[in-house]
Order: sequence, then structure tokens, then C-alpha cells
Amino acid sequence: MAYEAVIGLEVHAQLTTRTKLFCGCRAEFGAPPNSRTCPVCLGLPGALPALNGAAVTLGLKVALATGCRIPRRSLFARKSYFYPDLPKGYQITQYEEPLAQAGHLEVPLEGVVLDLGLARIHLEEDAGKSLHVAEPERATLVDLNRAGVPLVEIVTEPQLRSGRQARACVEELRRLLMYLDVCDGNLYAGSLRCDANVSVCPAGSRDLGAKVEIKNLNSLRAVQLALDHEIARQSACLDAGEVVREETRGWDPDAGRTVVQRVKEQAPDYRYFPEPDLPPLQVTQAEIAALRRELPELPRPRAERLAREHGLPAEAVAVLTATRDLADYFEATARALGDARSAAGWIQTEVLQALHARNHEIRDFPVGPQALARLLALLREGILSGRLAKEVFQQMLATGEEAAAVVARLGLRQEGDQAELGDVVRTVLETHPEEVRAYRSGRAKLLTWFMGQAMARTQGRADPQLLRRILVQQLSADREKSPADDGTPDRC
Amino acid sequence: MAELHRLSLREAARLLRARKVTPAELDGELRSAIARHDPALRAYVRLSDPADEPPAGGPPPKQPLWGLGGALKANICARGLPTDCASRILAGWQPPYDATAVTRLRAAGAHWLGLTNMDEFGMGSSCEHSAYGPTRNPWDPARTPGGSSGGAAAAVAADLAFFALGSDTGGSIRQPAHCCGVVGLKPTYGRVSRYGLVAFASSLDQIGPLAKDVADCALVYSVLAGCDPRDATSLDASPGDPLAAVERPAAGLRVGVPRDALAEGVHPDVVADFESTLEELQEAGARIVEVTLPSLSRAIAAYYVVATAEAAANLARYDGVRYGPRAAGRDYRETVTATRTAGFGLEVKRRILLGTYVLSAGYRDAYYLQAERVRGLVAEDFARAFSACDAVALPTAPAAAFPLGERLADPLQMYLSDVFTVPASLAGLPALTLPTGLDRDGLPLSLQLVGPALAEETLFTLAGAVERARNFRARKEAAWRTRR
Amino acid sequence: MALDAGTIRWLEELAGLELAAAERELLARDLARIVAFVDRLGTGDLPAAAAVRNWGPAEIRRRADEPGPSLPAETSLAATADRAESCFRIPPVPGGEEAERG
Repeated sequence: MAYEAVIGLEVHAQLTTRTKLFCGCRAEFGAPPNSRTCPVCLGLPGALPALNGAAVTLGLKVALATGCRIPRRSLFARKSYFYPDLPKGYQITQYEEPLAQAGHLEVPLEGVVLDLGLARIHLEEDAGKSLHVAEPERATLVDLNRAGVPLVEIVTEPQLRSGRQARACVEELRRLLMYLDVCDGNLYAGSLRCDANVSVCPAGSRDLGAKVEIKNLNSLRAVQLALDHEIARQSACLDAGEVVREETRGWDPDAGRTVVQRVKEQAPDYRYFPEPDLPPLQVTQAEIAALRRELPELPRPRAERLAREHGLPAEAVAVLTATRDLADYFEATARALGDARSAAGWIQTEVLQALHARNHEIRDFPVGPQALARLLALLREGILSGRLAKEVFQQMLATGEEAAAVVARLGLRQEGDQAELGDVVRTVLETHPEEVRAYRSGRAKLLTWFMGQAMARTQGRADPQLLRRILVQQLSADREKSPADDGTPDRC
Repeated sequence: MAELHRLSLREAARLLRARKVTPAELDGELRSAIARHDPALRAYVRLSDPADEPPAGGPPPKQPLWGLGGALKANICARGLPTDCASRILAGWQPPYDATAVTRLRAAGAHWLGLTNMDEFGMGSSCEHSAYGPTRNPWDPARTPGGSSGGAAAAVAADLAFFALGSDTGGSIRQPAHCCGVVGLKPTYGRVSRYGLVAFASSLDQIGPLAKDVADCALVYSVLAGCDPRDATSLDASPGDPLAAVERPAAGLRVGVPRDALAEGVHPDVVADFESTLEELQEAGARIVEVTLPSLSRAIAAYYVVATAEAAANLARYDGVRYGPRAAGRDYRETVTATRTAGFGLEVKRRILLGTYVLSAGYRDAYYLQAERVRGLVAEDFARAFSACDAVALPTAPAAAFPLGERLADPLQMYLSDVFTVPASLAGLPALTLPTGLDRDGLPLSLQLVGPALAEETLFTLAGAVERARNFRARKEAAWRTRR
Repeated sequence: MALDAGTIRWLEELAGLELAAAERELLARDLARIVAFVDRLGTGDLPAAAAVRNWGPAEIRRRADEPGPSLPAETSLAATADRAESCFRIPPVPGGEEAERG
């Protein structure tokens, strides 16, 4: 039996605000436990929430960037349940009147663009952290530093069909959130979290199968693997005539499968109601217009523009626009150099390799766009060979020098002077008349030998391609030319 | 000077400013009166250490409440005092911060004599639902002082404090004020910051003053009122000049009376006192007009749905994890359940369960959403009434203070006695109760005035006129002289 | 749902309470009476639009994203019954990670 999968995603992104959503405690990572807490985020008797305006702004940016409908008013709500790191016994979130609805995300995937609907976007506070320990006895330790950190929750329509699609969706959403400076996109550290709802049904049927919730997808790889696994599991289940249970499952990367966490015999009753401690949030058209003007060029439009303006292929542009900083770097280099293709090639290879090896952010990269452009200019002018240019680049990374300085210091100026090389070649040919005659009689392999001879005379510094060109020229030209006119072009 | 503690707040303040008495002398009088009378009353559940709350020494600066000791209801946070809301679940808890109201009063020069008894978490109308046991009514120890700010009202009535801070959710300042013969104000919702008031029902709670007379009440109110960035529900509105309002004549003000609301269940003494008070208001120049508040019959039901729903969520934080005593349990779930079951009293449990019920799946629409709509109707009724009058007059309660134990068996009976106070709470309107007379048993009776939002000054003007006309203070002194 | 002992049990579960049988019976009776009274709220004859909040400010104030003082960890932890490694310590959550989180 062929099955179709129906997948929806719920993504929670921690906002890059300085303070928490409802109090002035710093929303920072890595502080000693419970040192970023106050009566409000501790849930002390008598404490009250006070809304962080920056969180609203960031939430609205996401809504605008995804074409959502933003109503004039939205409400906060209480979602009640007991858990150790939920200090008030309820989470302040948004329920019936969220910040934004009905947006969409364009997800490029294998040459196609998926138009994924976004059901809603809303703000809510994060919970603290519970750590389950076994020594000296089994217990749970609670750190409330994270309690109250602002989150934006993005819920997609259940329109995804495979692990691959889901992964692409998370990747694109992550890219967008980082472009907007709304979230740092760190799946592993948990500043971006993804849960999925999966069901399968017979192909072509409208019968929605039981929905299973999958949690703990803390990498892009996990998103894809877990969902593909789950689809297979549910399909096998149905094939065996069994019923798929509605439950919550977690992805176990070591075992390579999803494991039951909680059976949803009864959906939890969260008893949502509007948060009485917080008046309605009002968003005006003027505010929306001002925020829209502030939005940066979004990833997909930017990628399309770069492809169009510079004639770059889609794969290249996808790599170059992976982050806004990288795209900025590329455009600045291309502009300074006056050659987008060259910049694109070099960045996709040498720069990204170096970034990865050094574990750098492009923002902190020792070779800035202007410096890179100057290096690439030397390459383009033939002053440096490709191989030499890479050497110079490594030196620039190590010492922070400009390309010209490295070249001067190491005396690396390529034997690119065509007249000089022409002289070298002439000398070689005059020194070996037998080999010249042999070559001209058809022994073409001797070219390599000539190359070696000429290269030795330049201590290996000659540009091989240029040298080869001159050799071939002279080897063929001499037959017809008079000594006075050796056919080499005027030096530029 | 004997009997300094019997002075009103402003009388004491005048003496202090005139250097006729020192803060230490005043405080000494108060504390010795407390030592003499409070053991029988139990208005206070915790006295502040005189060393911790020293009256300010030196020449009196320009602080309106300098050197004056007040009583603080045990659900308002003040560093150094154990804010336990008369509940076992918060036994011994010391807040690490001050409520904004406390900060404002301290800045005005006041200090605290101690924490007063209350119904646990504000849930009750008699002060009998307290882990400490009940407070007795200073007028008759066999009767309740009302609730939930019963201890605060009793302390002021018995001259064991110059003023008190209470909290009102459905009548918890006004009804005890009525039972004890003192003045109590529930301000417009949002006038006084709730930051530091342990929440019962967030959209209804307000901190307010209890005092010996209308001018004292106005003075404390003027210190309390103001916007607070820590409380998102607080209003950005100036309180005006409440003290001046007390002295203004009531001539020309229109007082609305919803007579159909008084039709049944009200004690004849209450009715008689109410009517004669209205006559005196007329003689003072006010005009009495008929108004109707048709949704009043549903207001109690709406109140108990909304208040318990919010309370159920507000009390979810009491799990023994971060504060309060923790019961034993093998796992988190067991610990939380055991802590809450052992820590909450029966009335609190009753209301938590009711609040959970009205929000639960399948019942939310019928109860919670419907209650919210009724609430809107109540507000509309008042708005319509206020197009014809400047304030609405109502009794505070259907009868005078009732005997201890009388209403414990039937919680619904207890809830129904809130019929006159709940409407102003639902609509977020300011409401003031002041004593107007005594019933046949010599127990205090009162008038309640409800005004449009932010119209506290109107209430103070009318209340001032009523107070001058009824001269309750003289009646009280006469009544207590014969008893003592 | 009739307000019987079974309903009360279910409400207890949601509310983190566990009543003794006698208490449960008592509260079931109390709540049944109260709910019967509350039924006078009536049904459906009211405007369907969401109730307009008629209390407090009409619009929420938004504060600046400026850090304010936090309590020292010692103060935050001062009132807890049990602590370890600067954390609140409680008996384990049954099922461990994420088991019961809503």
C-alpha cells in the first residue's frame, strides 16, 4: 500500500533580546544557575509581568517577512500545567488572538520552490531547565535562568510530505530568522527548536491518520532522519493492520528511531484563558509600515537578484546567501573587484574552507572583502598564479597582512612578464635544437620536457599556463618567422 | 496624653507636626493598646518588631504619613514581614521585595505595626477561613469582622492602627468596613498598583485603604494611587485632590438608587438606615434618582466564575518547589500534590476546583466565556446609570455582621452575601463604604457608593457629606462608652 | 458531566490536589449546588463578540529592552526546601525528560 505523509512543524526560536519577555533579567546564555532571576520570572507571590517591547518588534519582523496578516490587537493567554521549570504553574503564551496568522514561507528544494503556509506566529515565554540527576539520589535540579526568555513560535500548515522537505523548511526558516537578526539559529544549543506532527494516510485518500508528535529534533539531520523513520514506522504499522496511536515520541539518534514519550489517551487540558495581567497588544499600521522599511533584503529575493545580476547559478547563489553576513561579504568583494564570478568561486572554496577550519564567523574573518578583492585582482592580472594566490591567502589569514605586502615580503612576484618569459623560452629552444626539431617532427610529448626546462630556469615561479602558451607559440612560430619578429605580442 | 491611639490619622498627624507628641509616644500607645486588646480580637497575626519599624526620629519632614503606624493585610509583600496570606502553604515565607503600595507608603513616612488576619488568599467574607483562626468583631466578639480584610478592619475599628491596607476582589475591603464600622475604599481597577499583592483574581483585585473617617481614607488613597511600570494593568491617571473633595458640598450631585435590587433578601434595619441616609443626602443638596441595574441578578454568578478561574491559575504556583513548606513525595508529582493538599484550606480547595471546572474543556464556553459576557453587561448597566447620576448608592451587605460559624456550613450562602459588592468589582469601578448607623443589635450599618471609573473624588465628596450628616463617630463613642 | 466524585477526582488531577474521600463527597455536593446557581448565567442570549475588557488600560505598555537588577542566586534560592549546586532540588519527574511537559 502506498502512503502519503502529512507533516506540520512547530518551531520555537529564542529571540535575540537583551532581557526576558516579562522582566528585566538578562536573557543570556551560560550564567551561573538561578543568577538571572527576579520575583517575576521566579513566580513569586505578588509578582506581575511587564512586556518587553523589543520582543514584540522582533516577532512583528518575522510576521512581516513571511507575509502574515497582522491584526490590530492580539492577546496573551495562560496555558496551565505543572512542571518543575514552569514557576507560575502556567506559561504566558498567545492562544486565540495571536500576533500574526496566514503567512507563508518559500522553501527552495532541488530546483523547485515549495510554498509552505504558516498558520500562525506568536510570542510566548520559555520555561527554565530541568536536569535529571541520579547522584546522590534520583532528583531533578531546576535552573530558572531561562524561564521567561522570549520565544517566537511559528506553526506551519501540515503541507510537508517528507523528511527532506521538512529539513529544507527548517533550514530556510532558520536562514530567514538569522537574516532578520531575530534568532541566532543554534539548533544544537536549543535557541532554535523544532517539533513535528506526522501522520500517514493511504495515497489519494482524504482520511487523516492519527497524528504523532515528534520531539527532540535538535539538528537538521535529525529532522530529516526522524521524520523519514516515523513515516516508515507508521506505514509499516498500517500495513500490519495495526492502529497508529496518537502519542508523543522522541527521536533517539543513537538508536536511529523514535521512542514513545507519552501516550495521548487524553489530550492535556491546558484551560487556556486570556491573561488578565496583560492588556491587549495593539499594533498600528504606522508601526507596521515603519518596521517594513527596516527589514533587510530577505534571503530568497536576494539570492534571486544575485543570480540575475551576476549570472550566477542557483547552487552558487544558495551557498553565498546562506547567511546575510556571507551575502554581504560576497557583494562587497564582487563590487570592489568588479568581477562577481571570480569572487563567487573563490568565496565558495577558499573562504568557506578557511571559515570552517578556523570555526570563524564571517564577521570576524581576518580577510575582509576589500582585502580579498585586492588579492583576486593580483590573480586576475596574472601577477600571481592560482597556486600562489592560495599561498598568499593563507599568509594573509595567518598574519593579517595585505596581499601586496605578502607578495613583496616573500618576493613572490610571478614571472608573469611575458617578455622575460619569452626570453627564457627562446634560450631554452636555442639550447636544445635537437629536441626542437624532434618536436616539430611530431613528438608532441616533448612539450612537457620543454616545460620542465623552462620552469627550472625560473625556479618554478613561472605561471604554467602562460609558459605553455609561449612555448607552443615559439615552437610553432619559429618555422615561419624571421628572427627579428618573434611573434610575441607587445607587452601590456 | 491618654488614648492617643483613639485619634484619627489626621488628628495624630496634626499633633505630630505641632510637636505636641512624638512618634515614639504614638507608637507606644498603639503597641500597648494592641497588647491589651488584640489577644482577644486577633486582628493581627504578626506584629512588627519595634526595632525593625522604628518611627522616624528627628523633626518631621514634609511626609504626610510621617510617624504614623498602619496595619498591613497579610497578602501584601513587605520585606521583613512574613506574607503568608493566612495560609499554611506560605508559612514562614519572607518576600525579598516590597509591594509598590508599601514602597509608596514608606516614602510618605508611614511604618507598619504588623500583618493583619484575613481569609486564606482572600477567599472568604468572614475571616473564618484563616489558618490562624478567626478575628473577632470589635463590636461583638461573637460575630465576624467580615472578610477577607477582616483583621485590617478590626484593627482600625479597635484603634489598634491609624489606618490599614486591605485588598478587595469582590468586596473584601468594603464588607469588613461595613461589619466593623470603618471607612473602606476599593479604588478604580488600575488606580493602585497590584505589584506585590499576592494575587487572588487578577482582573478584580485592588489594594485599598481602611480608615477611621472619610478624610483619613482620602489621605491614604492619595498616597497609594499612581501608575506603576511593574503593573501592566495600572492606569496612568492622577488622583486629583481627594482631601479637598471631602470638604466640597454635595449640592448638585445626583445619586442613583437601583430600588429593584433592594427588593428582596435585605434586612429591614439595613433598608431603614439606607433610606434615612439618602434623605440626609438630599437635605445636603444631592438629588436622588431612580436607576436600574438589571444584570445585577447574574453578577454574583459571573463573579464566582471569573474570580475562581483566575484564582485557580494564580494559585498553581504553590507547589513547594521554590518557597513554602514542602510535603514528602516519591516523585515530583506526588510532592506537588501532597504539598498543595496539606497546605490549602478547604475553602481555597473548593474555589480552585470550581475555577478548574469552569475553564475545563467543554465547559469553558458555557461558564467562563458566558461570565465574561455578563461582566460586560454589568459594566454597560453602570455606564447607562451614570448618564443619569454621578454615583450609585447601594447597601454594602444585606445585613450587619453575622455570628461566627453561621455561614460556614453553606458556602453558597456565604457567596450570596456579596451581592452588593461584586458588581463594582466586575465593572472595575471605584466603590466606597462608610458607616452610617447601628442596627437593633447595636451593630454597624453602612452606605456603599459606586462611581464611574476614576471618579473617586465624587465618592469622597458624597461620603464627606454623609459622614457629616450621620455623625457616626459620636454614636460609636456613645455605644463603646457603655460597653467598656 | 455531573458533578460527582468522579468529576472531582479528575479536577483534582488537573489542580494538583488529592482529597480524602469524605472531603471529596462534601466538595462534590458543594460544587454541584454552586454550579446549579451559576447556571443562572444563562445561555446564548448575549452578544457573541468577545467580551471587551472594560477594566485597566486599553492597550499594553511596552517596556524598553534595558536590563534591570536580578536577585542574587542566594536570595532566589533562600526560601526553597531543598537545593543543590545552586539549583532548586526536587524529587524526580516520573519518566524523566519531557515526559510530562505539556
